[in-house]
Amino acid sequence: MSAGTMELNTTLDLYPDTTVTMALFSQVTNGAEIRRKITDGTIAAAVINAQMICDPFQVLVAVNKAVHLDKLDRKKTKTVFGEILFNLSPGNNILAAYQKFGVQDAKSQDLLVVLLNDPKGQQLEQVYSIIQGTRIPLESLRDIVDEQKIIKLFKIPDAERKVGRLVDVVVCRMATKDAG
Amino acid sequence: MEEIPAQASKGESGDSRVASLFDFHVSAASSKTAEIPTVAELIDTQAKSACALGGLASCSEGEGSSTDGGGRLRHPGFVLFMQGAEARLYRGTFLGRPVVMKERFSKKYRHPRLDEKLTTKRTQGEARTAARARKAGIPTPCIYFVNYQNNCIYMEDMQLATTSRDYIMAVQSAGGGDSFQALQPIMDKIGQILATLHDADIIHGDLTTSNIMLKQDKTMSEPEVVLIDFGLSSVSQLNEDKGVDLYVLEKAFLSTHPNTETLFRVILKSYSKQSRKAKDVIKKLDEVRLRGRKRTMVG
Repeated sequence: MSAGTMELNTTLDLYPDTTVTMALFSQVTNGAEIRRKITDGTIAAAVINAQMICDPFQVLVAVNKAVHLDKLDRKKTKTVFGEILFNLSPGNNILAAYQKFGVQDAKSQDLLVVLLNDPKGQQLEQVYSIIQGTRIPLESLRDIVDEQKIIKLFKIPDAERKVGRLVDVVVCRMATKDAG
Repeated sequence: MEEIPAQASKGESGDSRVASLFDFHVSAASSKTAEIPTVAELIDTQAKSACALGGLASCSEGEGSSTDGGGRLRHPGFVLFMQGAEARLYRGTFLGRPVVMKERFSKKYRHPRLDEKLTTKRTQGEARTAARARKAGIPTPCIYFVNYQNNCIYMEDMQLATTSRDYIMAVQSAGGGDSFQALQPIMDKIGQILATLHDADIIHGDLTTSNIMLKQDKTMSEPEVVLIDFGLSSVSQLNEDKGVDLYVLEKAFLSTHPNTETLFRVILKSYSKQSRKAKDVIKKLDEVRLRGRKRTMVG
């Protein structure tokens, strides 16, 4: 029995040239610095508020859509990483998406980092050196997630909750967001 | 080499699943000692037959229908398993999960600009209504990704499920006199789901027993009714539209499954019990039965 998946490395089935790397950091203290470095381009990654993620699949679906739109040059946001955050959000307001799903204004927070096309792990190394927090296995998402927050943000009625697992409800919402 | 049967289905959506496996399960059911299979048993039998058809996976390489003009696979890693009037269905894996991918293809006889708009509109509508149905509590496959470029919908592949069409046929061929007993609880559930659907003002548009699926895995003591194929669906509060929705199901039901009038009545009874507006809807259903569909009696 392994200690847990410290890092998820996978490719997108529909875009096999794109590799996705995910890592989870707990009790990160330098949120403001990280946000600055994202804005100025030092960090090229999607840094996600882990409380809002119930399963890595949720993030992969957002990544898939972001890469898809990026290839068609039809993103709503400026970068593919911003697009990932936007896709995670139920609404169409980009700023709100960054606020809810991005780095928070908190002294200590749990963050999920998503990198693209980093097979040798160089970018991940760089992120390591910047983030002041502890790396923990992705399975810990289960304990970090705030389901009530997600249910409230997505306005999930009880009836829909019964149809499937929370991750499925959220993913379906994400996938059909722009269908009207 | 297994042929993909071209489905000449009612309505334009034609997304009935597993119908091509029907031959396998009928022989399996009748080779048993005339025992009525449970939903879980039928799902199991069909799954085993599907494994036997495993060679299908290798057949997709180079098959004309799933490649583009250049002979390259249009959807590498995906296996075509059904072709309808409006869409093709594939099976594959998406981000670690088994999926069904529904590809709406263009109709060459249409004007290209119109065709593009229509196809996208249908795809969008299907995704939108499926999401709406879920919000109302209707079990339907979870949608994972919609590609509006090629009008492909990637959705949950419900592996442990069968169509009510296959189940009714299996029970009837095995059970004789006891089939009503076995099917009644299923019909009851179907009535409830349709009532919930119509109370949410959703009109399915293509209700047939192939579009009403039954899911049962090991954790479930009873099968669950799942609706699929919202390609022709719409939103309407009109009792007339709901009545027509039921009429379409009645017609499909009685023509596919002979001598099932009493079974269908169970659906209507359960529908009436569950839905608040049922009385008026059934009234409309009776009216439609008398005069036929699409007769607004104007002009």
